[in-house]
Amino acid sequence: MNLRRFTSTISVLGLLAGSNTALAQTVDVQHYWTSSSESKAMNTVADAFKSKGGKWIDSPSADFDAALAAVTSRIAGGEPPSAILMTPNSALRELAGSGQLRDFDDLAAEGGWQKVMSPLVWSKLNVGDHLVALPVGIHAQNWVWYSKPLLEELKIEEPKTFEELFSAADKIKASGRIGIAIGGEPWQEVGILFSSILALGGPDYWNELIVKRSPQALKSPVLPQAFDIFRKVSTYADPASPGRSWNDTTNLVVTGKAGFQFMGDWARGEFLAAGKVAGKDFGCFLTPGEKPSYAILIDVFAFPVNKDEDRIKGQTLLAQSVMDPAVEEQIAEVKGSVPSRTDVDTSKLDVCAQLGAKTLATPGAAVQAAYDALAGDLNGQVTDLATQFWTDKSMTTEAAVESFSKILQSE
Amino acid sequence: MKTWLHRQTFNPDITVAVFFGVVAIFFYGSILWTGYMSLTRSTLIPSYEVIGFDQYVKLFTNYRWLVSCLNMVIFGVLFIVGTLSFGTILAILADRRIQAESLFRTIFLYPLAVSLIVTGLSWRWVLDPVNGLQGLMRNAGWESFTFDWLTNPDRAIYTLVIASIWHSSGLVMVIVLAGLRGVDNDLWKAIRMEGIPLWRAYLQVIFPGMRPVIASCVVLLMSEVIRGYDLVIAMTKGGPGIATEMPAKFAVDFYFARVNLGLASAASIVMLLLSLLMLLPYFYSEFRKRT
Repeated sequence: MNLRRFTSTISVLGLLAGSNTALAQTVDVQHYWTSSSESKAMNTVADAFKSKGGKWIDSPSADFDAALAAVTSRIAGGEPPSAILMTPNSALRELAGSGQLRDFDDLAAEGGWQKVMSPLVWSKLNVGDHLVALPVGIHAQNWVWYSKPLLEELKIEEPKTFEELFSAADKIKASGRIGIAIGGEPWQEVGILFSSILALGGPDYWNELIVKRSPQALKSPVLPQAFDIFRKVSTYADPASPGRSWNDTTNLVVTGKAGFQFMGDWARGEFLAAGKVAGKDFGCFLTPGEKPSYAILIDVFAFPVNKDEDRIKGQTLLAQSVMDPAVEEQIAEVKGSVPSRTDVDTSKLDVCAQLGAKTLATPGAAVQAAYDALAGDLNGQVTDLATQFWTDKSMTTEAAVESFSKILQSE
Repeated sequence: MKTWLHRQTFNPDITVAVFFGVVAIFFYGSILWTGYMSLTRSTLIPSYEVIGFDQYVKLFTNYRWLVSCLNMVIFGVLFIVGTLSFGTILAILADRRIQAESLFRTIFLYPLAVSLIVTGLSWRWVLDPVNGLQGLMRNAGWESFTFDWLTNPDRAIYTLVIASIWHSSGLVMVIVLAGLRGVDNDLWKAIRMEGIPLWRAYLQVIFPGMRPVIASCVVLLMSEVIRGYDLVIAMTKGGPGIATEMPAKFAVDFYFARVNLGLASAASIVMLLLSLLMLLPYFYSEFRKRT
């Protein structure tokens, strides 16, 4: 008798619990924002979402690749997450092309989102004329960060050219510190190569080479020059560089143990998380070139098709939270990105973010970063080549350029 | 209850059939599907249109894959030879009725209880040129001490060998020790009466009789070589550059990070063929014995 009452209580409780979750608007977010600045940014989104009454399930992975792996197997297994953090690359186009992603055309028309985004960004978010990704923030790859106190101590001006950058790094090295801090992971290395190409060639050349992959561009003298600069940067790697994560590497500049770092502006988030102020404790410039250029990487949320009513409502609520201008501004503040909405007030952002926003708004300066622009696994193949060239000092520039051309023409 | 259970007679054929069914679907079925995928242009989403052997051609013109295969051979040979010799020496020493044998046995077997990820991480810290052994020695005053294999592209593969020998020697030791304990006492008496030196006794009398034991060790270690993934991830992530890439890592990277299902499947199938090839001598000797 007692037992029966007990079981019925349990089942009533179970029903209640069940109906409770059915009322909530749930999102299950698969992401990889785990460094201190990144998790702050993700919490900003989560808090905005929760304050609107949603239920947030956090599914973090260690890095981008692991997150994508988890997403693929979850979709294949019939338990898709309701939101994925990714960038608009070939994986996104493919997911959208096979009908795995929910589109937000109705919400976009209602909110007039197209009018508040730059055309390049908008084109990256759409696949087959459907809006399948919502921007969280815009990053650029071709930044260089430096420790201001260190440069002041050694009386070095902010470099305007690669020569000045290298002579400044030599001076820092001579003072017993690391000239250029480098994390020896393939994706970090290839970032330096792409930044060099963009700086030397400018945005128009970049579009010919990376976006259109034209054969003429491959013959340009810019390529060997870029590989030479890439090689030169590699000589500044310290013994502990191989395998070091980007944020540990940024931390060397934060603490003044190193002078410079080539890294996208997510590095700014790490400076901010350490309580540093742009223009006072650290400085920034875009890789020096004749024309201003800005290789953008967009952080986006994509929303796999879900069947559960409360998860669909959760997606809608998350979409509205992400596109909220106030939320976009807060993310930019902690993460180091530039807001993707052009109507967000950027006057409160620091000097580095303002330089980013200004360059982004300069006509013709913004280009797609290679990670998004190169189809299929071309970016991966170039990454393999770059890390091979970086570590194998016996590989010649000519051989590297030849392999590079072969890869870009293979598809 | 008990009588009912006793009355049930299970037909062994049914049990075996169920087992084989499960194996057929999840094991051979997966192999077949992977083989199919390797003949398509699948990227993130499977495509079922067969394009022939293009992916295999692509695979064998991919420099990183070739480096991975070469690395597997270098790593495999050094690891198997090293682990076998080291484990056997330990077993012989333990078999000499030393003091506190069980203590030593436990100590040497212990690394096996540590997961490969933890093994790799600890060795990575030990071998780290700045914070590890080299840094320690230099701080202690030995300024010229250099041991930077972990970050040296030509040497990094050997650090993987060191770590995995440390990890697996205990297993070989225990298996070989069990084999040695099974050697007939009369044989030892005969060896002593003949006055054969100890090293010859082991090399020419004892070990040839232990062929099956050694063969099981080799098979166990080989499977470690082909699966070699976790240790690489924890210790070097395939770097510096692509100096320590392995086929299993290649396949996983191309399945997920590079979203290239077709090429990754081709790599997996080649790995399967490679492992069959490596086991060929074993099957051959088994087969010869039966006939």
